[in-house]
Amino acid sequence: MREKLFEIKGLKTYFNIGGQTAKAVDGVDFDIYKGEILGVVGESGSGKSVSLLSLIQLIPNPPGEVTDGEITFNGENIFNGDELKRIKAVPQYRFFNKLDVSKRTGVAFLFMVAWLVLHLVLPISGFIPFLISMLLMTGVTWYLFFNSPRKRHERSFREKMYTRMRQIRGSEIAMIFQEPMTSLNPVYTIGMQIIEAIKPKSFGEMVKDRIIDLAASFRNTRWVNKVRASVIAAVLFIFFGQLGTGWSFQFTQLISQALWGAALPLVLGYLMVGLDKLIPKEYHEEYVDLQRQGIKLLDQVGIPSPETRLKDYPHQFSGGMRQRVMIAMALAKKPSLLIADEPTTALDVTIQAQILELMKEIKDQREDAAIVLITHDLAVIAETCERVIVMYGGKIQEVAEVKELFDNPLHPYTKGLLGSIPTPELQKKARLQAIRGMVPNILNLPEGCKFCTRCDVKIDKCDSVDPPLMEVTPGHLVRCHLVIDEMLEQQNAPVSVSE
Amino acid sequence: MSDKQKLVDVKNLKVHFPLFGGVLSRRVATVKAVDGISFSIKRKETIGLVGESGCGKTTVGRALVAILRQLYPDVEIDGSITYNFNGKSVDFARLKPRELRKYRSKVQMIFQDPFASLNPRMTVAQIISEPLQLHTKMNDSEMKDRVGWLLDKVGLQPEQAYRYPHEFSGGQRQRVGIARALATNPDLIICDEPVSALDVSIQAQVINLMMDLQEEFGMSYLFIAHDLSVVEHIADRIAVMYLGNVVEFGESSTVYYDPRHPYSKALLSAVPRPDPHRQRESRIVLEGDVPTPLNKPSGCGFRTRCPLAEKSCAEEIPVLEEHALEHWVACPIVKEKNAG
Repeated sequence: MREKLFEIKGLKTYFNIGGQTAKAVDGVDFDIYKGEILGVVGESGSGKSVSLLSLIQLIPNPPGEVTDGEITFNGENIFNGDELKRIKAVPQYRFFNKLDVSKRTGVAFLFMVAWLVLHLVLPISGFIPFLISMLLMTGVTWYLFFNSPRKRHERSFREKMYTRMRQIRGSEIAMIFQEPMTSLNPVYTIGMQIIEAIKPKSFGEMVKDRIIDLAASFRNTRWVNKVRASVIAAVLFIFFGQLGTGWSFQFTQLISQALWGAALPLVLGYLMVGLDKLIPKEYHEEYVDLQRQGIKLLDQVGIPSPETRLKDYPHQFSGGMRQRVMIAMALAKKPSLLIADEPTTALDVTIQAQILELMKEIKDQREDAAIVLITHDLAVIAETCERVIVMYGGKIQEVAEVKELFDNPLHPYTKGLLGSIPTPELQKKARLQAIRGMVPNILNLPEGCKFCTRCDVKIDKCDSVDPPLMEVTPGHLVRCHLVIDEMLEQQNAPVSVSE
Repeated sequence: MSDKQKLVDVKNLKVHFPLFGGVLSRRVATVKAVDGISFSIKRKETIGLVGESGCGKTTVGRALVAILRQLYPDVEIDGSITYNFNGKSVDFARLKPRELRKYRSKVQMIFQDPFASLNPRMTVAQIISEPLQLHTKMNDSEMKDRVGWLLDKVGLQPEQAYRYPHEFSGGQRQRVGIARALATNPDLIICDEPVSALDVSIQAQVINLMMDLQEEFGMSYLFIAHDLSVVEHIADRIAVMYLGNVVEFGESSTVYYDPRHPYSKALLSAVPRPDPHRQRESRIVLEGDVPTPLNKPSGCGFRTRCPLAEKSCAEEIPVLEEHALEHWVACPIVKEKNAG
């Protein structure tokens, strides 16, 4: 068996939607091995994206939260749900814990009113004593009603986790998103964004880079064009100058306006060149080196003439090229895991083929790197992946090697998905074996098997008991009562299934 | 094929969008979205229209329902779109709006995005009865019956008629869209990527529904899509488009399993198939992107990416020729090779 890169155990991610809990990911266990392409497939709302986003703690909190589970990355524990649970066990408030959160504000308000009423009885007079009393009141109210040791623990827990995650994200785990246009910043050039992925830059450094760029472009401009810019500026200065002076056309005025105008582009240009000289030489070298790295990255993902494309903006690229840029950015720090969330859904089939081919090439180049491909397209899975996870209702329903899954699907849901896509064997215009009904509301998932509302072969206990994920043959795991029962019957083993 | 069977005959259709720019808003360029295509749709037939984005598939669909002039007043339409409604032949490319109105009920449309194509402020009953109000003289109770009947046909409950679109899921909304298109008993329904926004399992349901309805009511479909396996399944004939031209047209299984044009070959080999055992060496991966229709290459539009391109390709635009029975291909080089 290959070495494990990621080990995920009992991962749970819940969202709080208007007081109700949506169990987007509800106890997911899986491993990611080094050097594999793992496919995660499921319909929208099955929790496939959320479970991978939870890995790198990219769940917006609130409303979402990774509430439980254990994530081990390369032997290092990067998230421990037990610790979070221990923190959650700490009482939320220091006093009056039985008081409901909604009532708490009201009670605190009453307490403050009582304090104010006390002023009528007690002999407190004068502005300063009153002010002191008010400050005291605020402090005491906060201490009694809103002082929360749990919050403090939670904050320090998250701070520690996020600090570590910030080091991991981008450098160890990189992500490619579905819509490349929304993931790229339209106001920066591709070059700036790629270089930022290699080395984050401060504001000052970005100003320096801009100066270097401008100085270089001024130096590279031919004199004919410099003179042309001066003439244009002179004409504009004369026009607006005369507009200001009421079209007087005085000779001296015209001359001075023309001179100012002609000088301006040159002055600005030489100012940039001068500032450029002030920047230390090491920074220049580093800048050139980063540019070279950026060019190399773009070249690696197959963008033609990367030197000139580096200076272009995202809107000048086509969809497929933008996705290549995204992949180049993701590869910048040679990550050991690349998560691709529907990387080809927004692209045409021919471009999709190019991108999938590119991802396979990347995998071949880097032996120990893993790729996780999240998609709803089983055909894409069949083409690219080695192992597949099928998700439904926030739980893993089936895990298998790709050939095993397509040849011998066991879960009714997987069978339904495979029956939904037309295949050459199917007779033309024959009805497709669609799954009936629709995906249940995530706030209101069935108690037992998550698929029982749409399943054609369900038995009585499917409604009430959620089946465990069982290994049927080595490497092939299924969560289905029927399959498990059949397997146990064949083995004639006593029924002892641990959850 | 007799003319009686033909529902619509498109001949040399050109749709050009002029682009205006500069201070005086002069005409600076022309987007040749559709550049001389011809095909016909028979009664009770499904034609699949496939191609990459920007190749003009949607424009063809819109031209067939004659809404291009309403959307883009500057559009230039050339050629003819001759419909044959009960023996009466009507050219949609030439008719005036007032005359068109009589025939609009005969050609309806289903849209891609079931979230954007239904008015959120109308109930389902209002949405479905809107075409009935425009095109028929039904009274309220007749209309109510008709709406209930339509909802039943598309697999929804008639009680759901008084709900709003946001109360439905994507697949159910697409069913409402289908019911709206069905309302006026059309002869042709233009389906502009009807299933690409839906989940796989829901996709299958909607495709099944569309096939059942065709079986029952006998209308024709123009099925525009980029998912080729779905198109192959549902369509009788497929037209492959590239940069505003049809490059290949024929029986769907012929085009799907024996593509002749180099572009169709590349397109079909790029389609991922749900079969992990498939040999992958045969895949042709095309270089680069589709050129913009603003600045088309001279001659054959595909020659910049074509593996077979020769010098002669730049000279004239290839026309569709019948290479085999009922199988038209627009590539003289392929024909030469097959002959020689």
